Amino acid sequence: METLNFLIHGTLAAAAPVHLLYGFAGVLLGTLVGVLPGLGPAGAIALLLPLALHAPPLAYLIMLFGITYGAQYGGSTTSILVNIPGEASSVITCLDGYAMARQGRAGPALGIAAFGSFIGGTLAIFGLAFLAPALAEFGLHFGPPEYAALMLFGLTALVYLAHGPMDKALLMALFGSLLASVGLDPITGTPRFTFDILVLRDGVGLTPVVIGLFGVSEVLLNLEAKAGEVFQSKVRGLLPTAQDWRDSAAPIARGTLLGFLIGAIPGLNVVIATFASYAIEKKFSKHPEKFGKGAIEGVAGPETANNAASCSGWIPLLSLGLPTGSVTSLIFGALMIHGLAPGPLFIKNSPQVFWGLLGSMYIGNVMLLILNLPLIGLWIKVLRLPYYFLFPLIILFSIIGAYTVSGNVGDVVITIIFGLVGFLMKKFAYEPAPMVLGLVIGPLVETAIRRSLIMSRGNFMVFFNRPIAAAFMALALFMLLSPLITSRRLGHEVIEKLEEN
Amino acid sequence: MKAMVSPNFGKETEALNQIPPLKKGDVVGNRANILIRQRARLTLAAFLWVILNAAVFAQPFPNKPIEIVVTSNPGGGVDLLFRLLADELTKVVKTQVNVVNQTAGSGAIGAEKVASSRKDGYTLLGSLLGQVATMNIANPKGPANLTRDFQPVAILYGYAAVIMLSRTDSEFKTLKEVVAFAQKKPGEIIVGVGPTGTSLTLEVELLKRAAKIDITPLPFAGSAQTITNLLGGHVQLAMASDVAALPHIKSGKLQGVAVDVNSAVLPEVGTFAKQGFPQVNLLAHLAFLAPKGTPDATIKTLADAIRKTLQEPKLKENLNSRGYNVDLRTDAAELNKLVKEELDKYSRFSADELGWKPQ
Repeated sequence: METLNFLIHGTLAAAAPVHLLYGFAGVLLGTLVGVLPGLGPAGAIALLLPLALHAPPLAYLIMLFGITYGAQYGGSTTSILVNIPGEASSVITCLDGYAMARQGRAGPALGIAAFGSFIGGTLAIFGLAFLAPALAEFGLHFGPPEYAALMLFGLTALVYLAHGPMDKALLMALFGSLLASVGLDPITGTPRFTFDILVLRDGVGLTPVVIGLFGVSEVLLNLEAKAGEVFQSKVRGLLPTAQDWRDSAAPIARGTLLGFLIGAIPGLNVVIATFASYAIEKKFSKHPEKFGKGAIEGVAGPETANNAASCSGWIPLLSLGLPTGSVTSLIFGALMIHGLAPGPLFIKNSPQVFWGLLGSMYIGNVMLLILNLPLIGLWIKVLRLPYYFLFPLIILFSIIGAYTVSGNVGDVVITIIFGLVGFLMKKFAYEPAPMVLGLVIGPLVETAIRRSLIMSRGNFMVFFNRPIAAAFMALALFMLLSPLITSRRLGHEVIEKLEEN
Repeated sequence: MKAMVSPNFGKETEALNQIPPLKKGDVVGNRANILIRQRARLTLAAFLWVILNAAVFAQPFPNKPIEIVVTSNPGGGVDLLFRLLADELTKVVKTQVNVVNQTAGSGAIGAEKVASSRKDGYTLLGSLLGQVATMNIANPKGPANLTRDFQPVAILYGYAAVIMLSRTDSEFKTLKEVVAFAQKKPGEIIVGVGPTGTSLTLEVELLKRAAKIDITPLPFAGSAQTITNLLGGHVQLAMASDVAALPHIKSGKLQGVAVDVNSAVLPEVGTFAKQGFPQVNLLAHLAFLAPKGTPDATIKTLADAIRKTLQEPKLKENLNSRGYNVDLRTDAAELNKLVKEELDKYSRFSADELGWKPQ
């Protein structure tokens, strides 16, 4: 009851005019950076950091938080409309979102993404309010062996992601992991595949690769198609139908729960939450063959999960003072500038900031829903833009986005190279999504396994004699071995249907 | 004056060479016309250039925005200090001082950018002195070299402490206990450290050498991740910045075993030197570096401005409360000595240990 009381007080504090204004600026900016491929919340927050010294603390933080969850709303827009993810966390939305848009159902796709985001976001706030300390403590039980086991489990689940033939998906995931190994070895610091090029010491960044793989390649691909060929179907409806809602209800519920749990574990990121949600929806679906061809569940689940995860991603920072990624590190810096050192005592020492932020997130999600629903009509008009106008714009934003990540021309070059790679991949029917997963998960797996083995001094039992790690290993083994028991691979229907086609 | 005009002459000759050769049917007068027009344009440009420069020279330094290229991540401890300083510095020099982050290539790209910028004091490198010294030792012919390319403007001596931490329920409360345990059971203590080449990692190496013990360093991405793993009990010791550790010490979960320099926020923790290991001394100095060849008067103006900024009691208190030590050195001879010392300290390590192993 006390928590609810605090939450109400926080919401009232966040409703003060100045906080509303900063909050609105934040969610608007967030939507914009979300929509623009490449430009992400981390870039926007870094640009706004100098303001920290002059803006009122709570209002400023409300704005920064607004940017982060606003970006999760905006990220899906370009995925659905033009097959270019605005954020890495919307990569998976391309699969079914874009397919829906091609069938003239861009409106319902955008609508369910906005509603899903709203539901996932607001429910996760309650989770954050009530469970934050407990979950943060639980997260500490995750050492290197637990992460390694969790990742191996995740990679095994990749089987369900395969949307084309399995071998190609695995090949792409491996290619992504290999790509992730470019740069300084995370354990020994030895340069790998850098060819003495300074830029490559930092590795191949996720954002430049995603922009190239999806954005630039999509433009190249469309240049080949005759103008007007892409969207033949008429736009049918702007909002989800009753049937869409019936299909999406369960994915939204599962997406919320899954996203919240994955986001709360330090080190896992929002991208993983979306892939996991997609995989699970495909598994639970009565018609898995429709996935990749415009199944609304494939949009609803991941788009809900990314909002829930970006919300619960604050748990390690706010309840323990442990930043877990680039965005949380930046916010940690902003809090430090204001002398509000986040730590285990943060909630107790700065209740007005903690509960004010939570309240503002609730208000911000309402703002975003109101902001995003009318925008759907506008976004759909974007599709009517002539190609000679739309394509140069996409390329322009892709290059600006790649550059702003670290202010480095090398990243622009990487973007262009992966534009060509992506183009070839699509030509030869290789899916880029598993490659992105490989790129995200590869370094996590590598460091987790190597750290575990340093801890155990080379003993592999470290993955089996710790309870959490052992549980994940058992699950992974079960998935691997299940074909022996059921004599058919899980998800075989999909493959059979695909083979029939 | 000579240096100011010559670039334009260079361009003129280039432009002349670019005039298309005569083709059949060309009116001969045209070529002469083009030449005259081009020459007129270039003369005008040269004229404007000289006037503009004269106008700029008429005003004392600084009269336009100053850029500090910081080679650390935005939002991190180093970056925050430079941002807080830049903000106050703006008021002192009465011109905008901006912080730009350039982290690529382990900081080498930002260092190279400053090294090759104009030697006018408007572009400075804001960096850990050790980070730039490391490049010297591992890659002497590399794109940026501390002694070849830079001139120190000011150094914040030991701006923050590196602290060795343990959990409060652990048996390791002082270095003595750590060393005694490691002598009995070599390699069994796992200490969470930072990325290769950072002082978080190298100081553990120095302790191993000085105390002749074997403890196992486990590299993590930075202080926050290391502390998380110490809190979870996955490592027994952790190296971190004192600022990052402070909230966890206050909450009673962690304790300080040793620091490399007296900490502003945790004065009760003894240094490595005081506990018998003066060799563990990679103090983190924060340096303002200008490209070599910057006029002495400009360097002095900048150094004085930085000194004046740090004398602001409000800023000083602000920095101290965040855990920063404010010990500014600006004397030219002393700066050069500090640079030399830093190079000596880091030359105890191989390129491999510094994270610059050639491929």
